[in-house]
Amino acid sequence: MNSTAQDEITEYVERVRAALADLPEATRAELLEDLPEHLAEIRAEDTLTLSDRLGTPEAYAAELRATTDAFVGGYPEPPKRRFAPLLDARADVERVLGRVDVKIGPLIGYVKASEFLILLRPAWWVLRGYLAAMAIAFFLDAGGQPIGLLPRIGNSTVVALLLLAGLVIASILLGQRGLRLVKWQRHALHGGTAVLILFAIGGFLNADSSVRDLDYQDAGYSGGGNPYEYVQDVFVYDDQGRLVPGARLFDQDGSPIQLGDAYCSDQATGEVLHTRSMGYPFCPENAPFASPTTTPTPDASAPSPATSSPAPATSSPAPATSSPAPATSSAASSKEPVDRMPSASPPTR
Amino acid sequence: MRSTVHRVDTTQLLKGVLDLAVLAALRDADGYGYDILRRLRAAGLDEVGDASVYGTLRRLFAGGFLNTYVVPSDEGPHRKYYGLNAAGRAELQRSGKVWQGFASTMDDLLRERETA
Repeated sequence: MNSTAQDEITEYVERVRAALADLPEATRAELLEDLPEHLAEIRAEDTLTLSDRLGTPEAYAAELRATTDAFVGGYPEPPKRRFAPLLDARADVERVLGRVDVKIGPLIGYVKASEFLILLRPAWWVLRGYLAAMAIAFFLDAGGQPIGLLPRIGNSTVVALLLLAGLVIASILLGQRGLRLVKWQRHALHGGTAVLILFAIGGFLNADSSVRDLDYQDAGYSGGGNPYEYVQDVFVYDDQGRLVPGARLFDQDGSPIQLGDAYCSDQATGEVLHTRSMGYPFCPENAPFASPTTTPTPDASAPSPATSSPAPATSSPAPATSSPAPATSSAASSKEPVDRMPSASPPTR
Repeated sequence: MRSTVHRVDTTQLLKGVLDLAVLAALRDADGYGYDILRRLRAAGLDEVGDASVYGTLRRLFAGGFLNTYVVPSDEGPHRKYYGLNAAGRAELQRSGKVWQGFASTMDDLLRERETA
């Protein structure tokens, strides 16, 4: 098709459009949508001009208009708009939302829930500014570091605060001015809002799960990981029931076992001091069982009569020093039992 | 107000049955706008205009009675073909019955007048 034919079609369509100016926008758009292509088909049929073949654009428009009239007997149905199912669905959703609006409102002390939401608008503007700043920082700082609470680009807190302030102010201004937006601007704004909300949901879930993971680790430690975590001090008693001072604990590899805190609170003053003890217990005065070592003389016979029995035989005046003597003598007198019973050797050391 | 008499003319009658006529023209084969116009004229509807057919096709399509597809053409512009879908066929059948009932009623009426 040559350009004059194209011009002829364009002009014809424009005159038809002008003649239909009073029709509802949707109907007119519906009628005119395919008209240039249709006229191009006609024009290609022969060499007649469109006006010669079809009459004036105004006459054509009048005939076109007649086809939009309602038909006798109700047939066919009035023209449906395009995307009719979508529009119907939207109408349904709006109806339901309207009902919910009125139902929920009284529960929170308003006629309609939407009245309350309108009051929240400025809060949304601030939140929107914050989310926009976070989104910008996230995309500019791609893969740099995990998302925190500030819109950081690089590591500068100042830049983050400036970005945050700038976007919050911009968002408030955008909300406050009742800006008259043309269609595409409105769509862009709505699209941007949708992206921000998705971004916010993603970020929120991300942050939530990372915080919960920390909790989970803590719970693991106190739950089943280390049953001795509550231990603050360790008291070792020998088989006499005597508290062993300065005890050291080692595992099977010879590594020291660290338990408890090396701090004691002085029961008299309440002061907390680093322990002076070189081993366990850190705080001997907090021993849970009264130790017989504090009063050796009267109690010595009670816990273990077997070892104390030799003592009266040798010498009664000095019971405290007498106990090693029989022990060495008994060990010397019977060496074979020592070999056979290693458990008897510790007292000699 | 009975000051005017509606004279029966084809243009007025056509207005009421144009949708049915276009659906019928598409019953056996899909077609593009000018093609359908030719079919209607070949069938005897000389009065029908291009704008009427085009407008009717647009409205039937918008109403969900037609499907459409574009066929490339070597020696001219691409052509937009229209065809009946299931709703279009159902509508053709339903409206066809309405028309036949109406037409036979009118036939009977006219015949009685002639015989009376």
